[in-house]
Amino acid sequence: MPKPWHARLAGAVAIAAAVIACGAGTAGAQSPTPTLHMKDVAPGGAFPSGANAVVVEGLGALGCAYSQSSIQTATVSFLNNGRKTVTEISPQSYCGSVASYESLLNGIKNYVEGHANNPGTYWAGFMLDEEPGFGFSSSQLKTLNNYTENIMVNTPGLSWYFQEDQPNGWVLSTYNNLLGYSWPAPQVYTGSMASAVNGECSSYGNCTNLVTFWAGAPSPYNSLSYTLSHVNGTPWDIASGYWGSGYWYNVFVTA
Amino acid sequence: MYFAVALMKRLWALSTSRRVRIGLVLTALALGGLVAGGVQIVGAGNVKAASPPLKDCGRGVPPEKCNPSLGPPLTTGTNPAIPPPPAFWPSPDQIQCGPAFFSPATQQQLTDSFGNLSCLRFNGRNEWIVIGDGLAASGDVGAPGGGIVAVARCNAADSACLDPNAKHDFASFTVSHPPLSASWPLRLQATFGGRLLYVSNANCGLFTFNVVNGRWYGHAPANVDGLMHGAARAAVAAPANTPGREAIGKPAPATVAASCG
Repeated sequence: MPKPWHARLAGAVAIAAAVIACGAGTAGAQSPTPTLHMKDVAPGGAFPSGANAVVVEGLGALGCAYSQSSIQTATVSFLNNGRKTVTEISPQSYCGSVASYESLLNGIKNYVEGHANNPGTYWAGFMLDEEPGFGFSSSQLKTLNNYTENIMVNTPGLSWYFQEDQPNGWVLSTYNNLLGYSWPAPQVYTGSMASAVNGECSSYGNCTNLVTFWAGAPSPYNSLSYTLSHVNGTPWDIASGYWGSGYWYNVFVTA
Repeated sequence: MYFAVALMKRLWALSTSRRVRIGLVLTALALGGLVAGGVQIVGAGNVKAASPPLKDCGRGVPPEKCNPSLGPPLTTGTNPAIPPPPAFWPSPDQIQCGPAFFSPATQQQLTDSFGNLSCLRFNGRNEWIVIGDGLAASGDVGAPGGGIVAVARCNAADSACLDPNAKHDFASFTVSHPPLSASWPLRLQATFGGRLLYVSNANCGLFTFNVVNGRWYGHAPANVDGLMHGAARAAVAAPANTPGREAIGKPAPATVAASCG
């Protein structure tokens, strides 16, 4: 005897729900797989071998290494050699106040805009490494991020900012609030970090990530392919209009 | 198709005047749909001809950041290429410990006690350095022994000791705990001159660790300069160093809070 229509509909809904649930429960992967990468170098270092772009690792600066002068000079040196470049700062309360970081970022921005030949094409702007262990509260970091958005919004071309955050350092809603309008470049060194990144994607729809990979991470996250295969969403490709097409990840190395 | 045939049959059963009225209404609806569709098609064609679809630059990111056509024309300056700045006490290349550097059992004990391990030697130097980040394998709680930096010194002529693939005994290491050892992560941010480690100690602060004497110093660039020039400022207070054979399995030492901040 054939089943009534509502029984058949219920069966179809159950199958569809199972398919969706199975898909959600399976570990996702960045799609497509990114093939281009940017890599850290300390101010004064050479362009990193094999990399497609360079991240000038400025660390805490201010009362810590490195000096503003060396960070901005290294940035412009790469830019004026036609290198795709990002400038990283790790704000730490023991290196300087929020106000002093605002002044630092604005100073570097002004120097780059004034001395680089074509920053709108080659300079992707700042990368802020924000971590709860670095001493600033989330509200202080939010203030700094808002300031960064305000100074970068008027720069021509591509230049904007990434956040290379420790994603599992805060509850998810705080992480989402901190990310604001940045390009997320989360550290994915553990399963807990990957879960936070995937939670941001599923809960807030913020699913485009420049995954930060570290070869020194605990196994199995010391494998690039494993790491990328455990992050959902799409890799960062925002620069394609300026840098050419391609999908990116970020490689952390000790500067 | 089935519904269309059924509808036709029902219409045919109505009176002629009602059939005409319904026919007029359907004709008007069809004409309206054609006009609207035409406008949509023509409009779509015009938009396509004017510009390609815009790229999404990310949540809240201004659209010109990834759509060059939306921003003002970019200027290319004529600034000269400039040399890179002098590097600040660069280190030699790092030699990473091989997979057999510690026995599997020792490796497991170290990971269980001190978290994720980094193990390296600077090319041309004879100190092996092990850094435990103090983070348990789960990635969101501390390891019981806290974060550490452990150093073992080889005789310069001892090729087996200098070999990253030879087996080593953790008993030959001296374990140094940062001021806030129990917190995590202990993060190596940079190295200077192949003998100074720039290590962030969670929310206690950033310290310069001297591999040569196993002591912790401040983070100011002047501290680094002083240590490299042999004119070090005073070290900061930290828990006493421990021989490697005694450190495994022990809880992290008490915090030296006065050194934080």
